[in-house]
Amino acid sequence: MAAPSLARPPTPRLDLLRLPWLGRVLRWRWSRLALQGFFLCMAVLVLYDGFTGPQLAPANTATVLVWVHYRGFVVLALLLVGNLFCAGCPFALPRTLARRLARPGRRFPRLLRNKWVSIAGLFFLFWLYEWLDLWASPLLTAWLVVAYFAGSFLLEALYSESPFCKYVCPLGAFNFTYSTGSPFMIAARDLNTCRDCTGKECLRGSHAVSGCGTELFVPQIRSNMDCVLCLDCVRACPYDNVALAARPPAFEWLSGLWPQRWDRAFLVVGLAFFALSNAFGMVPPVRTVEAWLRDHLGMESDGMRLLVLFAVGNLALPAMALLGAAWGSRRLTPGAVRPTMKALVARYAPGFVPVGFGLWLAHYGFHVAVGGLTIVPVLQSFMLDHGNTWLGTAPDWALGALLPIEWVFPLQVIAVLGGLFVGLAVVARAGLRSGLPPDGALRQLLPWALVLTLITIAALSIFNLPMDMRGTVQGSG
Amino acid sequence: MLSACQRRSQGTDLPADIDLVCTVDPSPAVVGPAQVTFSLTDSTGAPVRIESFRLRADMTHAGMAPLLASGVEAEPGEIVVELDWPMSGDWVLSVQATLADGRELSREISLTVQATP
Repeated sequence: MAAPSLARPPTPRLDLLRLPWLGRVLRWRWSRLALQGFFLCMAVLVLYDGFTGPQLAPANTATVLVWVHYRGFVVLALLLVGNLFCAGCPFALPRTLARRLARPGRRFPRLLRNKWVSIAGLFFLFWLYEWLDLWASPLLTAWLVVAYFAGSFLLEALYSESPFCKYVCPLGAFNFTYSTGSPFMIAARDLNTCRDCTGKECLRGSHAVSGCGTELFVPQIRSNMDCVLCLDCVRACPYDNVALAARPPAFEWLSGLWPQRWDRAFLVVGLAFFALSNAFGMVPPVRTVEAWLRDHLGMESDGMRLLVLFAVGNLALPAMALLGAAWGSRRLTPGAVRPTMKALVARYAPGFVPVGFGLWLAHYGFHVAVGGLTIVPVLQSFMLDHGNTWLGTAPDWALGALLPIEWVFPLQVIAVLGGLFVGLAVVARAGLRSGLPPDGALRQLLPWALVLTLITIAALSIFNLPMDMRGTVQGSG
Repeated sequence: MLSACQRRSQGTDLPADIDLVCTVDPSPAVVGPAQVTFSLTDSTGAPVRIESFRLRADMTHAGMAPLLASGVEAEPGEIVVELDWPMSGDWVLSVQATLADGRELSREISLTVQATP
């Protein structure tokens, strides 16, 4: 059973919105637009250089910004603050225009109001990434950005809510999932004020300010899931009753309020396996597996081979892990108090979030650690190509690593093992709070702990292999 | 044993009468020290003298610092460059050379470096 004491929202002891300087900036009406403006400039640069610049990935801002810095800083921001990259998402900017075109009241199909579409989007995006070697192509990276702008605009124009962010966007699904571990969350400062509120402006908006685009109601928020941290609710509340509150570590994973939904469970478990397959795509054995598929199954198409690999690694394995652990957990629970599979999944799936996050941090952190400074010569080169010497008269191509290379693997191990330890703590706590005696709880959580440990062993084995940065340069023979 | 690198056709500026052959030792290329030799010949097979030569080696993945090297003729029409491949994966060698007759030459060559066995 969920512990009622943990089901309450965090008491906003530290509220970022109340800090003297930062709070003012955050509450400023145009703060989100300013952040989006910054990211829009980055997106324009990505588009411009991707379409017109050198088609050598390490020398183009499109590929360096998107595949090194964006990914790396997303995970760091989620760890240290929260869903900052959804808050600053430039793809949401055409929304205002799109809303003018939208037919009012038209809702996203009920059947699709879940995470399955974004899971499919994640699968497609990662497959495309590997198949087309997006990391090696500034042009295709720019097209991906175009597709994002178009997709967001189209859905906003078709439907009156914000279905792109909530139900479709693969990046949003990633950010939502891992923001469940972020240290800050939107919360009501005083629930009594919300109880007496009749306007519900945080949800519905007012004449001056939009309400929550993803339809979250502040006093009921117990999770960062679906919160894009736009702070519209803060600006809309006429009682100044919304906080961006610090919360205890792992609050959400331990709250016992994880929804009993297969889509949410598959998203968090799937993302841990996506992390594995994404890292596996960068080590030498993937070439052996691909060669085996070609030689023994006659798969000549690279796209088809990767589709098979991803169908196994990103769909079949997580499904087996999820259902297998739930089945095992249920079988090991005494018959009289045996919960449903869905209840077990909701209880233990949060343990996959820190494990998955540790894997992403290790992988994306690697790219930032070994190439974080490469953006400097790339920008210098870009400026010089346009006759501007503000950043120097010659690119300093010697700049590359942010950290000594010998530090990287130990840090990856710390990230992966840290994820495992937190994941094990989450499932242990969930087991102990299940109402079972300790030995029964241990039996119930054992399959979950086993799966988390196996994922970690697989991850460490992959990270221990030499990186093998594959990729086909546009037009290479 | 030496072997030829894979050639690229796009983004190159190679005079029609010049042939550039790139060989790498050890072959296949593996992580660690390597000797890369570039040989330029004309349509008759005679070596083409080189005035200056610059090489830039990039991984295909964004966010990797390039290897930069210059070279001088060891033999007429032949440049030998010592490199130390830091990481396995797909590399692009970008050659910029000035020929003795003043013509400019540029070429991009793809190469796969394997992990140390």
